[in-house]
Amino acid sequence: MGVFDVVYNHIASLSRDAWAFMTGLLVIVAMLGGLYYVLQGSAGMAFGGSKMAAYAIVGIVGLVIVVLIAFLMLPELGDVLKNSIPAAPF
Amino acid sequence: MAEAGAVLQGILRQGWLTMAAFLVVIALLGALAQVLKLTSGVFLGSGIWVSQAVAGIFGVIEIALFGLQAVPVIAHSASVPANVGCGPVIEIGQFSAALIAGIGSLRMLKGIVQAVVSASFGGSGGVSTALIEIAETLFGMLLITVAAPVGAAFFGAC
Repeated sequence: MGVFDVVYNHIASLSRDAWAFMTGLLVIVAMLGGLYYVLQGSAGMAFGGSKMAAYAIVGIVGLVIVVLIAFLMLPELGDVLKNSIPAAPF
Repeated sequence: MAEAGAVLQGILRQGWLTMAAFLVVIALLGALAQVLKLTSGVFLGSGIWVSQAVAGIFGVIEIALFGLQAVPVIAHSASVPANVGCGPVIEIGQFSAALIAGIGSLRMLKGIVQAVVSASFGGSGGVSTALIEIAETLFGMLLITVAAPVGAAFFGAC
């Protein structure tokens, strides 16, 4: 990138920090969500609320699937975008 | 003047690559932010957040892909021909044509970056503004294609 190397390296460094921060935040939110659904499921099972327990199980599974899909899909999308960078049209 | 034009074009090409890389970075961070919104929506049981986040993820990626694929084609088709003018004006015409193509392309890509940033926050106003800016740039580039030969003829250079 020539003269813009320094600028890009700074931006890339900040972006990597931002990525790490957001993925950490995502894991925290997902774990808190899982904990909430575990509490809901336990409460449901404690007093025989099968609907509550079922919703809790579905919720946990859904959370895990969403986060896994995101963590697997986003790097692939990044590769697609990176490979789509065209040469300058001038 | 040809050498100066080549140097400036080189800098503009480096700027293009930097901005395209920046666009990819912003698109990915924006998609991650929408994933965070999606996870929070699942956690809180908010269906609206989930649907908005899914739409946001696809919107960010599609705008970025449109920018990377379509802007070069648009810029190339609207570029001023290098043989604008005649006689002594032709060198200035070539220099200007190179700069117009470069600056116009970069401006359109900047508009796409703005649109991706706006889509990352879930907004739609920034996308409209970016599309207007692309249209303005395109219009300006096409106008020059007509105006430059007319101007050269008017000043008696041709």
